[in-house]
Amino acid sequence: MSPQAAEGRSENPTFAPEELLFRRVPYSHIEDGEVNALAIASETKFDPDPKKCTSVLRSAYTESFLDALRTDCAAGKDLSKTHTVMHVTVSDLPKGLEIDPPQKDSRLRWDMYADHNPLPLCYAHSTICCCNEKEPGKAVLPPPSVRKQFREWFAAELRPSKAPEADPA
Amino acid sequence: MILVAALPQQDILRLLSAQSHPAIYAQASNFSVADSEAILSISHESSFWKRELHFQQLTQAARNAGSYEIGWDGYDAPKPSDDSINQGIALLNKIKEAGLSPSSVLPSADGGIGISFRGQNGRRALLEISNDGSASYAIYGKGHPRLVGEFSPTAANLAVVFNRLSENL
Repeated sequence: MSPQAAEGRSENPTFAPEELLFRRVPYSHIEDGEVNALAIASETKFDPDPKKCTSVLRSAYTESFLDALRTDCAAGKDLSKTHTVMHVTVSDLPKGLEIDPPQKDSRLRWDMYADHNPLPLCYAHSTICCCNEKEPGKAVLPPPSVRKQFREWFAAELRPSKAPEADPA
Repeated sequence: MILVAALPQQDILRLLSAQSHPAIYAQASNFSVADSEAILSISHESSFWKRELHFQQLTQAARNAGSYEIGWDGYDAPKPSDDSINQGIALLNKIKEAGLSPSSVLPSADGGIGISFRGQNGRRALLEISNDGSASYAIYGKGHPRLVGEFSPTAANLAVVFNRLSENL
């Protein structure tokens, strides 16, 4: 089954707190069920342009988490043998990250948020962006330590996506 | 026992496969190769050999990182440069001399190569050498203070970094 195509639909900026964000992960970087943070790019994946932030698929518009491995959502590549799919929940995205180590004069804090960026053949395509907590929804490039904290959080929080068990009834 | 531990494992296997005893055994009057299985068992159980094998595997993993192609993370991660791989291998040798035990060596989605450590209670650490030649370390884990810094991978003395790792993992 193909992922949902955009078919002229515009983006839906509202994410339910319980929505899942699916991410491809290479098997090579899973150790005892845990994602190695090296699998997550942090340096180039935050940008004032939300389309350039960390790619995920939002569950509201996927038929299955397996959409993340289908060629329409994976830039035409067949990743079914080398990658698996894992997810985080929208409500768990970290908020209030600070520069680390803390700086005396800095009171800035950064929030991560999900942004819907549909692709023509992959309507569920979204990104995880970063904003200053005082300007919600306005993507920015956060300081390096905030980017690294996100990467470490993301790797630790990704959970394996599984098909729902069949109803025995 | 001492003679076995002093020889590289491949030499032991070569000697055991030979029909006649080489000169080195003839010189050791109280030693014979009567029970080759016992010797192999000793070599496999020895922590010395386990560590040697582990670092051989890590070095091979660093070399294998060169075969990763652009987009290996399922998105657009760059491949590790030859320089980052060579510096990673050199760093592995220093880590071995320092008595530390990394868990894995993998390409980094930020471009470069990383050496990972897994400590107690969810403590994790990464030493990362980027394609641009810079290097950094991070010691982190949920519920633990985060320690980060930069270092020169070509520095002769990395005791400060290694001490931080051994004290905080």
